[in-house]
Amino acid sequence: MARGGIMLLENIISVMQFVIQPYFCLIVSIGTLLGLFFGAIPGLTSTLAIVLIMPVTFGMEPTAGLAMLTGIYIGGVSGGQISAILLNMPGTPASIATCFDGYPMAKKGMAGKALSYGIMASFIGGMISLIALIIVAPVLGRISLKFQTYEYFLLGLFGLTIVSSLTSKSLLYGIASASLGLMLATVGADPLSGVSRYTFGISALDGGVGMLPAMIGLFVVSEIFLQISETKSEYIFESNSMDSMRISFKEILYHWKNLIRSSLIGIGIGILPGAGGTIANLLAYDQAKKYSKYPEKFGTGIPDGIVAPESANNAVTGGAFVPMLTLGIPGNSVTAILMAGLLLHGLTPGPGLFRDNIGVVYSIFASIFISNIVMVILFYLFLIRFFKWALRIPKKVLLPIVVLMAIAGTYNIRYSFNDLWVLAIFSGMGFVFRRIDFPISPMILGLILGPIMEAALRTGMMRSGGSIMPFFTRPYSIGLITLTIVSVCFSGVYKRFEENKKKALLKN
Amino acid sequence: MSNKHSLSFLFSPLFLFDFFLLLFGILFLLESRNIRRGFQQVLDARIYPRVVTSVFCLMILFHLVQIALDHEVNKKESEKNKLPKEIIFKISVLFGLFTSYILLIQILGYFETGFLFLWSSITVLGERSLKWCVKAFFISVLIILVTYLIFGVLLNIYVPSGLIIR
Repeated sequence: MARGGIMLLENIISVMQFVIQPYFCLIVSIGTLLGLFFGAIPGLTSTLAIVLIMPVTFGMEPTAGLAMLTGIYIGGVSGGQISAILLNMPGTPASIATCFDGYPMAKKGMAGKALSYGIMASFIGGMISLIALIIVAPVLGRISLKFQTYEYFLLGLFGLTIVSSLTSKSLLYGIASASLGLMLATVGADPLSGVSRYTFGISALDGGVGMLPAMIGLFVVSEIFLQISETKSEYIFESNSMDSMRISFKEILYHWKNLIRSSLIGIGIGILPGAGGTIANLLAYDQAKKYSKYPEKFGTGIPDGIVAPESANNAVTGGAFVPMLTLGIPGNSVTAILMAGLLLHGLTPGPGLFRDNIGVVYSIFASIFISNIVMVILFYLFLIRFFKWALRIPKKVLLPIVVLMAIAGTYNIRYSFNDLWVLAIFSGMGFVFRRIDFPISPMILGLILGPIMEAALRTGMMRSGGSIMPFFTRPYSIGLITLTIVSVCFSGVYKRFEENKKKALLKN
Repeated sequence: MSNKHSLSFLFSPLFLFDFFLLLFGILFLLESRNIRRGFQQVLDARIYPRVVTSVFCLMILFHLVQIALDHEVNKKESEKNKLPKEIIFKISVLFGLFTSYILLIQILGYFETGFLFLWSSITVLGERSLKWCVKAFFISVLIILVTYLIFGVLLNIYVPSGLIIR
């Protein structure tokens, strides 16, 4: 234990050696600012920012280059909440759940408070995951190895059932939406055999339906059309100025249970390669609602509904580095690009990195630390002023600008015009679905998880020779099945309870 | 009269929406017959899409039945959601402009088409007057110049090149 304590102290000192370097801090700050900017503008994403800046980092030292990219990643994840809260358009898939309470809270005239809760939750979630990363990265890496194909399939199923019950008034519609997402994810080449499915001979469909263009269409552009249908005000908010952003430390600490629980969910999901921030923010929101004394208030604009997803999605950032650094397996698409960055600098991620290039590992830890602090400072100093000004732009000018950004962002994903058509189709679909109250969150999650779930299920079945027993006998699988059943039953009972309560109120 | 009333839910937006979704699901299911099996596997390339599509169709079918049983409640809900004609017009025009933007971007370029899109959509969304149209023109020029500065010059974000700005 003493040896572990000494090692921990050594780790912290090594990290601080980077933190005190002004050049290092500047590089991380620039990266974080870029990430915040890209994350905040609907249509642009931190992935795009990383891809754009990557060539610039080739000329830098590996530690500096990776520090900048890490700053962009963390800034991007946090920046997504800005448009989620102010415009009801998640800047990234990891901010979808932030819209559920962030936007209603902003509509109530508390946009400033909503943003403050979000950024503080992001900061705390990021720091908790950094501590986990520093202390237990190798242990977490070994846990992530125990997850095999069976568990990945069941994790996807668990995530989909949560979101289906959480985000829709009708469970039937929720499950239908998730299934629709899974169906659309099968368009294109089969992940195992390469056979073309549902392409109708159109080469543009061989690559499948892009998840990001679909998300931008469903959440961003469709929201624009919905905003147009709301004629009551000329501005996004009736009062086009923002309330005070001051929240006391006590107010933040009041949500300590939610913060810790959501951060642990984020870390747990983040360490699983491929799972990503999208599940984490929705799962954390669901759990926050289930554990709350006032679950009926979720969706009306309460701090818990912002704290949960934002702390979870930032906790994912630390968790996502675990498999990348310890096993050489990227945690998500962003860490895959960061891994490419490591390889381009002549470094091989995995156990060898800890042995041969520990300085690079410490620089990543340091950049996460600095980025989380700088993010809060930049947020209050620059971004809020910028968005306060942006809110004064009337809707008739602001909304077309958002379309412009969305198109640029979509085109830059794969430099494909086909993605723009996907954007157009999903924009129309999103508008119709949202008018009819057909939920879109399960659909986008189905689109994201579909390829992972299908590959996991079919590979698992091949490994077990057609037997489904491993799905029901492995410890983690049993745990996931139990969680899924409990979650579905709880949601069903809760919805029935709410319906009866409404009927009783109407009678009275 | 009572028959007309009881069957009126068949023409409600919700029922029609579910009906089209079900139709989509059935077409998806039928199309799965054209998927090749691929190499020898336990679950081939056709099975998974069939299973998820079947779940989808089943859920929509159950929902259709639910609509038929609760049609009075759904009728009130759909009436609440009706949009005024002017808003439907604005949304339709904007969607048309958006689609035209995507069509023309390959020919005219991002900034050129973006300017046309901005000018026309700001005009449509604002007051119907020549003064606003002229104002929209100058706003669009300004926005496109700023966008070019940020995307093209500062960040070097690649967008389709056009007739004027390459």
